Amino acid sequence: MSLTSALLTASAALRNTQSNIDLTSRNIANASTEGYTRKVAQNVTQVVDGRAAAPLLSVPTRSVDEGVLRQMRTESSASGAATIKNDFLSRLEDLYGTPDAETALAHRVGSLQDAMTSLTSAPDSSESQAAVLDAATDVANTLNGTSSQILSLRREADQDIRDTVDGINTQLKQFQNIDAQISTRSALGQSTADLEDQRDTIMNNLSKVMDISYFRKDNGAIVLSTGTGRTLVDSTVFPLSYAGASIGADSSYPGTIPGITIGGVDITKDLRSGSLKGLVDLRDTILPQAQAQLDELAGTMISSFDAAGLSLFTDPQNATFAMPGDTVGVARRIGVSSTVQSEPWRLRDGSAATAQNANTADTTKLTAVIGAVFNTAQTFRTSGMGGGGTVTSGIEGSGTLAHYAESILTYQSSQTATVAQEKSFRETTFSTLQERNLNDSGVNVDTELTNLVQLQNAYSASAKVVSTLNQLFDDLLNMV
Amino acid sequence: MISTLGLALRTQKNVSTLQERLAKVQEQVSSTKISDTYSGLGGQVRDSVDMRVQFKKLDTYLSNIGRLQVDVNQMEQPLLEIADATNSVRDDLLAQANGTAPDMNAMKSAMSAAIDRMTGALNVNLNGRYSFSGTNVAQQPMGDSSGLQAQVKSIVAGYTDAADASAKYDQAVQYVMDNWNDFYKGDTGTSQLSGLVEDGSTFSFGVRGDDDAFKKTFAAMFVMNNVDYDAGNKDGYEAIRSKAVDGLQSGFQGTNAITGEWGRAAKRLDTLQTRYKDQQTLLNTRIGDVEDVDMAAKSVELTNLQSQLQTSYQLISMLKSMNLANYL
Repeated sequence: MSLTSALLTASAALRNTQSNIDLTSRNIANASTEGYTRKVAQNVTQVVDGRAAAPLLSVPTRSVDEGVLRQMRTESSASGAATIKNDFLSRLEDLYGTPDAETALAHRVGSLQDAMTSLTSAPDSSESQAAVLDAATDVANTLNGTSSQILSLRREADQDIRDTVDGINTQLKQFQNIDAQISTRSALGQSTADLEDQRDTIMNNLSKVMDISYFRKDNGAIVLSTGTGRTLVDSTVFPLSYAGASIGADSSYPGTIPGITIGGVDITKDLRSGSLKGLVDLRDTILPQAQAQLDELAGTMISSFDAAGLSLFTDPQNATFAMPGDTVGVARRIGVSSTVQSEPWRLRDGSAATAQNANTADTTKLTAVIGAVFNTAQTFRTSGMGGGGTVTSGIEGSGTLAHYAESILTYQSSQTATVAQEKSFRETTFSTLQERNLNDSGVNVDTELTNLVQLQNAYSASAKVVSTLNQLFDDLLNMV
Repeated sequence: MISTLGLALRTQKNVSTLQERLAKVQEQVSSTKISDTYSGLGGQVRDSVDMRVQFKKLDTYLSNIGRLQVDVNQMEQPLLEIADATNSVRDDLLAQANGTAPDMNAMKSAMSAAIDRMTGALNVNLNGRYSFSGTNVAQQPMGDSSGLQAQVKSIVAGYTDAADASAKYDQAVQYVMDNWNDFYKGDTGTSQLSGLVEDGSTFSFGVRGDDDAFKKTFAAMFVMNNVDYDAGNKDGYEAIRSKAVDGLQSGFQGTNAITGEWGRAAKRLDTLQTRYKDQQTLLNTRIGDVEDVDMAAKSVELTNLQSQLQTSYQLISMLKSMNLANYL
């Protein structure tokens, strides 16, 4: 052993300590950065000629629990779907108003019945007739407005699907780029830890919008697939494709709305979670169901009034409206008959009357209409609804108009509450897993500061060794 | 600075969760409502809507009852007027002593006045609606009776004896009955004035000017208003007078029966009105049970949440100071 050897060892120790201080400082600087994991470099002892020499510093690595990460991504997907559904359903619920405002459809139908009931006590009163027409207009306007808003939400969901698909493709390209860098650096024996953080962040972001599965190859690259195993990235990107559609009340998937594809294969039905799945559910199932419920109510209103002999409501698109053929989208079109509006006495005498009844207080017809329309159970379809004929109502198929309108409200509010609960549950689970992941792989500033103290001491000691060796060299030279 | 991101995020989430809950409870306390959305009512949505719809329906029924009560009250006074007029002329006829010549001018004057009173009573009009025209409320029910009375006069003229006079009286009454529409112009169909006051139940009411009680009364009055006293045939006049008294009596009883029925109808409306108001009070309470917050419970919850939030803030403050950087 020589002084030179000792000097080289001390010098290597100084370099290692400096690198570690650099690593610690990066850990501290990124302590609050989401997606950053704690990096650690280990001193590896070198044995030369049977003796320990200056240690080598390993490439920085990170410590990540892959199991927790996978679980976190699964929950992130479920949370993404629940969050987007909750957002849309909350907005849908806003359309029904507040409980004490009494502007919901069920209240409107009740008000129409009340106005007609009131008319029985003054059937010749033009004010009472006008009140019935006003109440009927409110019902039609509420159906029109709610239906239009549902269609708008469907269109918005479809646009969001397009945007989400674009966003996924952008992320897949970024993923591929980083993945390629990791492969290269891994082959060169260089650190890939920071790149892996970036790749994880992309995967975390992707898992929010769709369910993904993946496996790691020997070279450190990852093969990324959909939850059902359709490859998204394996050295090359297999992008998602969605052409979009012009959404109308009768649009449906499968049918007039194209699917989301990878390499020409439709994967729409393969989606299991994530905000993309939530959006697809909203566009193809949840909102069409809400639409179908309104259409069924509107169509039944038209036909039940017709059958009772008072064509109070009409479908401007179909002069001879008939269920079920003309039902799709009727809630958006329904209006109050112009004939009844110009001849309000028909509210009392019916549509078949050729002239106004001289007995202006005769309520025989009016009472019969009220009985037939409002007090008699109507039959509502429960399946085979919507543009594609695949929508189910989720509501029982028999009851009065008012009961059906109440059922729509009850069903929708219950659905909103359920989704809100699921969102809350998923978020809590995700937060727990995220916290566990951060505890496992995140930076603890206290730990880093403790390490810093150790590194500082190590640096001082190594510096002292160099200083001592310097003194020894001086002494040696002076002796010569 | 908190040592780890995980701890910072958890602390942040805890605080934001508490803040959200606190805001929600504060909103509930200030609005006194459990929720301003239907989904916030949980499983009580149908109850809430159902009860509110039911409440408004009762409002409508109460409004109908109010209108019908006005109509019923409107018709009650004319019926009393008719009964009074009938009773008055019947008493006049009864007061005529057998064997003495009646003061025909006075009697006819009274009859004519009674006919006018009855006609006026039946033509009562409220806000442009005639009450005794059936469902043809725009039509004045009673028209001009002079044509009928002229025919009655010719029928009862020249009675020879009591039997002949009695037969002529019956013939005159029958003529009035058969030709009533010369006098009555209102609805003659089967429809009645009515209004919905209960689910599926109609309150039908109304007396028309062609009711038998009025026909009989008018017929008797028409006869007495047009018969002449024959001093040489006192028995004949007496037979007519006696039959007219019976006719007026029958008409009076018929009118009284209608009035009695009227009272029962008014009573039914009053009963329904009371019942609906009671139901509304009950519904109001139940709507409150479903939609309103329990203020006492919420006050306690509010206090708890405030304490929890304060503690969380203190914890953050402590965690912030418990950092190694502060001690190095």
